[in-house]
Amino acid sequence: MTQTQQQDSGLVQRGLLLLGGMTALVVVVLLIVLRGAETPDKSTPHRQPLLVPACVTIAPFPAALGWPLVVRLGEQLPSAPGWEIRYNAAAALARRGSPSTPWPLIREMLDEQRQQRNFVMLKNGQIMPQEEDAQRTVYSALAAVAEWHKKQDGAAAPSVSADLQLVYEQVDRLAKDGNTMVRVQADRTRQTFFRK
Amino acid sequence: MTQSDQRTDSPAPPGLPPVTPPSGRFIAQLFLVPGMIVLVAVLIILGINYLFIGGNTPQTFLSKLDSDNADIRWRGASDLAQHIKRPESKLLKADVSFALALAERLRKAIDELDDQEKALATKIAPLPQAEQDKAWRKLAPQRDFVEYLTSALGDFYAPVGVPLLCEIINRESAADVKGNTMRRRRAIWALSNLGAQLQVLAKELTSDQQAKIQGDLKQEISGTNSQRKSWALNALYHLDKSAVAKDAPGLVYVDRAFAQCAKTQDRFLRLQLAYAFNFWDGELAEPTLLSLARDDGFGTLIRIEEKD
Repeated sequence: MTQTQQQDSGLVQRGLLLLGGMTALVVVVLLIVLRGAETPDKSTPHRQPLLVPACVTIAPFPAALGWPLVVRLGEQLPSAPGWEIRYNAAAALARRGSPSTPWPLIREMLDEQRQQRNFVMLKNGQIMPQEEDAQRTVYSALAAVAEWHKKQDGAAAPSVSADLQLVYEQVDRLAKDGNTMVRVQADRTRQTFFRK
Repeated sequence: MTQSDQRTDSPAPPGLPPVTPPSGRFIAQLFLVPGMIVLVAVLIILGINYLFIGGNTPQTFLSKLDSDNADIRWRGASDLAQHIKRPESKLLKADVSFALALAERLRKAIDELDDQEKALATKIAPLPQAEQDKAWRKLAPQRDFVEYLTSALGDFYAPVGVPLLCEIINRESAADVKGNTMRRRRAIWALSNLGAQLQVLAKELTSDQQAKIQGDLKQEISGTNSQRKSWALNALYHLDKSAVAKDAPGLVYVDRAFAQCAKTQDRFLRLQLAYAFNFWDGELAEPTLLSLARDDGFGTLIRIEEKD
């Protein structure tokens, strides 16, 4: 009789322990599920600061414009419409070794920040940069610059124009970039430069 | 003594045979015999396929593509699309006669689709837009066939598809706007592929194989079929500029076609065009690229959905 009572109490203890364990498991699963379905907080949207209204004051023109803010606004906006077409054309010209390669456009392609603003998508009400696409554009521009230099090999090495010099400086900065793919290609591109 | 010990010690119930572990030979028979049967069946099917159906030859692909049965046609199309991309399919890609046969089929398919589109456009003109969209979808099989052949012509070493593809990319207006847009985009892609094939031709083919392609093209030029003659002439010009007089009648210049296409309202097409210039050269290549480098994004971006 005593043995049966002891066995019963052991069973109850084990049952309670199992129940406790299962409750803990359910709580953890619920926490994960609820946290996973996180929705953006509509009261505090993540946005870039809107500089357009800040640029305009109530004073008459030209004092009406906050000129320093206009410059900052330009730095925060994506490229003008048609940038994908312009980029493809600029890269194609560079790959052909064309003397008319639009270097300012190539510099724009090499600007990582700019590419992160160009390659964005709307997800859950937030603007998300598409890092891979942005980096691919930078990589493609680096490869095109290297190709341009290789195409000049047949002729005498041309003098480095001011525009091209700016490209060199930008590639130098990218060679120290955190992204491995871009850094490696930037390093390869630098080796083709017309430097003494 | 525990309960389990009692169970093992108890004698087997009367009437059941003693349990013995299976021998190695028995296990081998169990798997080997069915395996051999399946192997023989597969070999018989492959043998019949090789002997009577003909394997992956141009004639087999063409007969499948010409079939009235849509399932056979699409299976043939799928087989060809997979087969021609393989590295070991160089001879198929270098087959001038096969490329010209596909070009003939594309010409015919485009003409048929044009007629069907014109007839349908007149018929559905009074209907509301939703009904019109639904009606256009009925032409999907023929449209898909044209798109397929357009893409397929980009896989050959001999660029016999250049005249047709340039004609497609410069067709600005059509009754079916979305269908026409899709065809133009495919054609630009196929032209890019053709240009890429020309760039790797010397690396991938031996000089004998290259000479055979040119020989086959010259033979077609001396033939009687005017269509094939013209396409072969264009292919020969793009393979070897010195082999054909620059002002020969019927020559289609890719750079000129691209320059005309660069004025299109379709933004995505201009984007593809700028990329396609990586594979084609010509007098108008650089001026066109410079104009595309100043593109301000004019025109429209026609979105094609899966249901279209």
